[in-house]
Amino acid sequence: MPENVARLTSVPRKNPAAASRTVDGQAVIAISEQAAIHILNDVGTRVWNLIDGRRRVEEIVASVAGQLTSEGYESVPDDLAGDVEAFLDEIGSKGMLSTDGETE
Amino acid sequence: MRARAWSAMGVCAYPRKGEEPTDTVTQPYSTDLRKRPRASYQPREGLLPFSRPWSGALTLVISGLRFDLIGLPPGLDRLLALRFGPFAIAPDPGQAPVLTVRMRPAEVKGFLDFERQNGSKIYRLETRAHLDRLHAWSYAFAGWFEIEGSYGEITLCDSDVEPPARSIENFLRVAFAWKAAGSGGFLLHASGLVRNGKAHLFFGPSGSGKTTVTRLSPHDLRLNDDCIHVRQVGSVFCASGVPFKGADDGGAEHSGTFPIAGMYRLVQSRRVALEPMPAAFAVAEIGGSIPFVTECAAGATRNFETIERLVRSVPVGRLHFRLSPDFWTAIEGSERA
Repeated sequence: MPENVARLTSVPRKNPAAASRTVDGQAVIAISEQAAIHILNDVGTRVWNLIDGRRRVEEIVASVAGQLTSEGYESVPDDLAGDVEAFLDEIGSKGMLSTDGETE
Repeated sequence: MRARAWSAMGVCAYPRKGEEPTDTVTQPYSTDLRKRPRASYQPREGLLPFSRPWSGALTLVISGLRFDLIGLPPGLDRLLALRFGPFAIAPDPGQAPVLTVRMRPAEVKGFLDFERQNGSKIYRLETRAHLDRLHAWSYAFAGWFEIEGSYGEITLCDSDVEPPARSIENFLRVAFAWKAAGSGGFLLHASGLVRNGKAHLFFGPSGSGKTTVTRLSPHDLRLNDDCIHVRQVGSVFCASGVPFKGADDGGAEHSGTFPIAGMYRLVQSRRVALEPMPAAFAVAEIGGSIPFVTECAAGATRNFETIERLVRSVPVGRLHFRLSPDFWTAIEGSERA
């Protein structure tokens, strides 16, 4: 299976050590293991709130695209999937995701 | 303690029509208990008499929470009573202690190794939650207390590096933070001043100027220069002084409770200005200034709920200040507006 296809079918999971609260559309996330606090912007927050340990990445991408289109965003980039994957890599590198992600 | 950092991610910042993309901000943040060297530091504050029975006792009432210290070595009870001043009071007989701490003599010289870094004394305090207990240890003490219960123990070393009274204060700082969180409030790494009957809280990382603003305001009542207890009383968020010091002269002058007029993230600057802070950033900044309990996910979640209620009811801003008390003009101008 090509790497990008495998990634799109994977199921991201939040780090159990992460505590979060969405304030005015921005997720504030505390990682207790690292004693770190992060803020996500609007779109990052949408992705974060869709990570539930059941949705695949491709489902998250489709949901975000639907939200952005219906809410009047000027344009949704063609490579939204690539941006979401890069975002997941970034929050994963900062310890916000569990490292035992599964691929279906 | 480990360094704490917060950052905003702009990975997917697609602008709506007529809006700018979200900024990406990364800023180092620290809530460690780094101390600056003090000329007045007296290492031999008290020697522990191991040969005599430890039977002293002292009760502290801190912002309405009662702490009983038992099994104190001879002389240390009187020393602590002086150190904790207005908090060492006779409790209401009907009030149960949130924590009773028994002292025990250590059979070792110390626990953590003492470090100096670039000539400064770096204070190290480790904490870890394990099962139903919170463990805390530093150079000359190691202790634990029940997170949900009301009993704990602390083992004291006879140390020049960290005298027993300071060991007990630092252990109680951790214990108070956890017990305060369990009571619906939190201990904030901040200085506090009372002006016209209302509390103004100044927070930010070590070195941001918390102690400085208290020294620039000698005519205002000082709640503390290092940490403040924040809690909701009815519908009003209030601040209370606690006995845990930053600088040697920085402890609480008053043990009372005052409604909070405003909270200010300190920024050293050449100008004086008070800028409002978006709610999410205020929650992150305040959350990053709560020591100890945010190292546990459950504690952080509970704190976030309280902090969001706080920032919805109390003005929180970024205060640019210089070495002058003229920052009060910005604060009072904001209050009038």
